[in-house]
Amino acid sequence: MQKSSYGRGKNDKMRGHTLKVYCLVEVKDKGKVIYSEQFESHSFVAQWLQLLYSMFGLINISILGNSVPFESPFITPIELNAGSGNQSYGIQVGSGTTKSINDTALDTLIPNGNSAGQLAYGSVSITSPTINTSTNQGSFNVTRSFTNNSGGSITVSEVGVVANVLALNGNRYNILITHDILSSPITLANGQVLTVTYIFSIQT
Amino acid sequence: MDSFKIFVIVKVKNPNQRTKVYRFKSRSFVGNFLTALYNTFNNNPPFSLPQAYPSSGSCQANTNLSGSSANPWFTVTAGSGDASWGIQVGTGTSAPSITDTSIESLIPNGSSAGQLSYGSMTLIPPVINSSNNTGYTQIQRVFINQSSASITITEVAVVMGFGGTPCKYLMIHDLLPTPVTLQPNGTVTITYQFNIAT
Repeated sequence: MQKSSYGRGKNDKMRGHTLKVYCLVEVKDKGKVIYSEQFESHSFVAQWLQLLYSMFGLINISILGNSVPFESPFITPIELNAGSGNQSYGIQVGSGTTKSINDTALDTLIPNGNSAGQLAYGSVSITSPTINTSTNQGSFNVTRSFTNNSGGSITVSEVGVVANVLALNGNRYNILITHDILSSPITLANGQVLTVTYIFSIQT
Repeated sequence: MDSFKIFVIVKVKNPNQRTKVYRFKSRSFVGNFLTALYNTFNNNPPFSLPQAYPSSGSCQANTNLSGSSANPWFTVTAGSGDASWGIQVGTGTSAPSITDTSIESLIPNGSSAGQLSYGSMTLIPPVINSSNNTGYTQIQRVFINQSSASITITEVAVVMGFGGTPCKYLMIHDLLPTPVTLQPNGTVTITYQFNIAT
């Protein structure tokens, strides 16, 4: 097998990128931003590939994180718009510190609520795509806020995106598609609000 | 490292020549993909999405479906001889634009001059490497030059079915870094490889 050098080397530095996902985390105290960090998410997990493969070919797959195998998730396959208080899908936060391509859930989910060790999950909002034809760039944001009403401090060290999938059998499944560990854990004092934004970006 | 990478692998086999394999990084998701992803995430009702096929009329893509009917969703399962969707090849040379809704100059299916015989789409299941946390899945298509003249390919694209309509939508559009010329009886296999690294 012969390999050409074109398309690699200098040509591989052409403009644009395939699909980048950025994660922006912000902490607000009394409405004022006191911490902000943005990083590139490198952590699509295997289930993302399985979803794509299943959709590409209308092929039954075994969904790793669910007890019922071999479903065809091709109806509303990757819904993220969870409502307020719904921790089961959308953006989730946790206190774990490890990740793997075979992950099917956050390491240690911080549950929804106002008790010790819990955060109040806001609703997920998704902005309309912005397309810049002059730069050939486009993006949209998926955002969720988490409020610490627990009375104590809570430390967040991991974030993830879980899709709610309606399969052919009419059942819904929650499937982890990205999983990121924060470079530095964030400790939320009582009353503080953490906002996590995933930015899906393309450049043609 | 991008969050999600796509490589295009071009395998060319001309008569009496060694097989050549080229690989380059696809950077050209177009706006349709972002719009479809956004509406999917948001479980939105029907929305407009400019289609690649058919060439006239309008379609409404729909992400908010219920029931148990089988609705295509980012599907690429075009059959043999169907050039209207799946992986397409063409002779256009313009740089892809985020607003592209079709390949610039499609090489049609057939065995006459200026045509290629389109094979059926093939899908390779995800390959997951747990030791280095990488994985990929592939879609591919074989094109055969059954005409008596050479044909030069300069662009490739992926057109997908989406959201329960008969229409097909351009999602990815790339120029080949170097054109590929297929001699009579030559074949080219185009593979799109979708990669993640956790």
